[in-house]
Amino acid sequence: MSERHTPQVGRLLVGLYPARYRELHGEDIAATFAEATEGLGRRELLRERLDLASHALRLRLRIGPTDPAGRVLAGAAPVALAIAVGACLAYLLPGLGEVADAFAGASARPRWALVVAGLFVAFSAPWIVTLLFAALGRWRPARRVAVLAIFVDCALMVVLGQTYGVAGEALRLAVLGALVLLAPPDLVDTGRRGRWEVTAVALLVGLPLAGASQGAAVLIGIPIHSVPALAATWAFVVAAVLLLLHLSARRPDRLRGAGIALGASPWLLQYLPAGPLSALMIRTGTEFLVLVGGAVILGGLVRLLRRTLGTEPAEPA
Amino acid sequence: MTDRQVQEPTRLVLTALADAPRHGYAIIQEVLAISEGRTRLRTGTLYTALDRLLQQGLVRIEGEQVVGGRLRRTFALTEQGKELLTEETRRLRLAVLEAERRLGTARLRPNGASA
Repeated sequence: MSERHTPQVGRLLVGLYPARYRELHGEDIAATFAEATEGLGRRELLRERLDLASHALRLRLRIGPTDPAGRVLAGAAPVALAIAVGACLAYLLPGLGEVADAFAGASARPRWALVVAGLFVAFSAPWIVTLLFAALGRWRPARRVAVLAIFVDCALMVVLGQTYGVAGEALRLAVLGALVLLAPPDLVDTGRRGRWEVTAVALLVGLPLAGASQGAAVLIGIPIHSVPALAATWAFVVAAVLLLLHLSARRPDRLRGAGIALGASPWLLQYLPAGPLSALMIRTGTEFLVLVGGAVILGGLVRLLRRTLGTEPAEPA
Repeated sequence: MTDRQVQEPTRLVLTALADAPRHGYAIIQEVLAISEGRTRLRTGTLYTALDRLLQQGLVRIEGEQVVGGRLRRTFALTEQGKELLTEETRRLRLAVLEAERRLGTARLRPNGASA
C-alpha cells in the first residue's frame, strides 16, 4: 500500500492495534479509514478517529466482542446501569416529597424551592433518560447519558459539600462508568429479553427500596435510603435472582452470568475505602458471595434436576 | 442462531453482503444506502462487527486485491450467514405483515364503531 494514500493520523491509529491483528488487518483497515474519512468535517473526523482508537484499544485490552472478557463486560454493563437507575428511583419518591415540602414553603423561601427542584431534576433526569434509552434498546445513547449522569452525581457531591462516604461513592461511580464504557456496545443484548431485563432490574431495585424508605420514614422517622448498605444488599438480591434465572435456563451463557455478578460489584466497592477488612466491607462482601454463590449453586441444581428428569439434553462434547 | 435477535448494524452488514462480496468502504456505502442515510457505520464499528461475524462463521474473507495502491480485502456471506439473514428476513416480514394487518383493521373500522 502506498504511504501517500493513508493519512498520518490514520497510520498512527492503526499503530494502536496489537501487532498480530495489525499484521493481519492493518492495511485493510487503514485503506477503509482513508476512504471513509475523505471530505469529512472536523467533528465527524474526530468521531471516526475515536471510533477507530476505541476498536484498537478494545483489542489491545482483550475486551473486544470476540474475547471472553468482552462478553463478560457486555453482561455486566446493563446490570450495573440498571442497578444505578434503580438506586436513583429509590431516591425519587423521598426526593419528590422534599421538593413538595420546599414548594409548600415557597412563599417564605422561593429561591430555596427552585434550588431543591433544580437539584432534584439534575440528579434524577439523566438516570431516567438512561433507563428510557436502555428500555428502547438504544444502548449507545443510554451509555452516553449514563456517563453524563455519573458526572452530574460527582459534581453534586462536590457542590453539596458531601463528606461522608465520598471516596466510596466516587469509586462506585468510577467502576460503574468503566463497566458501561468498556463493554462492547454491539454485544450488549438490546433484544426484547435484554430490554426487559434492564427495565425489570431497575424497577425491582428502585420501587421496593422507595416504598420501604417511605414506610420506615413514617414508622420510625428514619428513611431507609439514608442507609446505603441496605440498598447494596437489595441490589445483590435482585442481581442474584437474575443470575439464577440465567444459570437455570436451558442454554445458560456462563460468561454473561459472570457479567451479571460483576454488574452488581460496584456496590461492593463503595465500602473499600473504609478498608478491605472493615466491618461494613466484610458484611457486604459476605452478602455478595452468599447471594451470588447461592444463585450459582441453585442454578446448577435446577439444570442437574432437569437433566436427571430427562427434560434437558446433555451438553454436547 | 435464532435464539437472539440480530442487531440492526449486524443485519445491515449482512444485507450489504447478501448480493455480492464487498470491501470495507463499499460495505459502509451500501449500509448508508440501504438505511436511506440513517446509519453511517464508522470504520472501527464496521471492523468490530466484521471481527465478530468472521468468528461466528457468518462472513468469510473472499479475497484481497490492490486497487489504486490500496489493499482491499473483500468479505462475503457464508452459507450460515445466508441462513441467518433468511431467518431474520422471515421474522421481520411476519412482524411487518402483522403491523399492516392491524393498521388495515383500524382503517376499516368506521368512526364511532365499538371495538
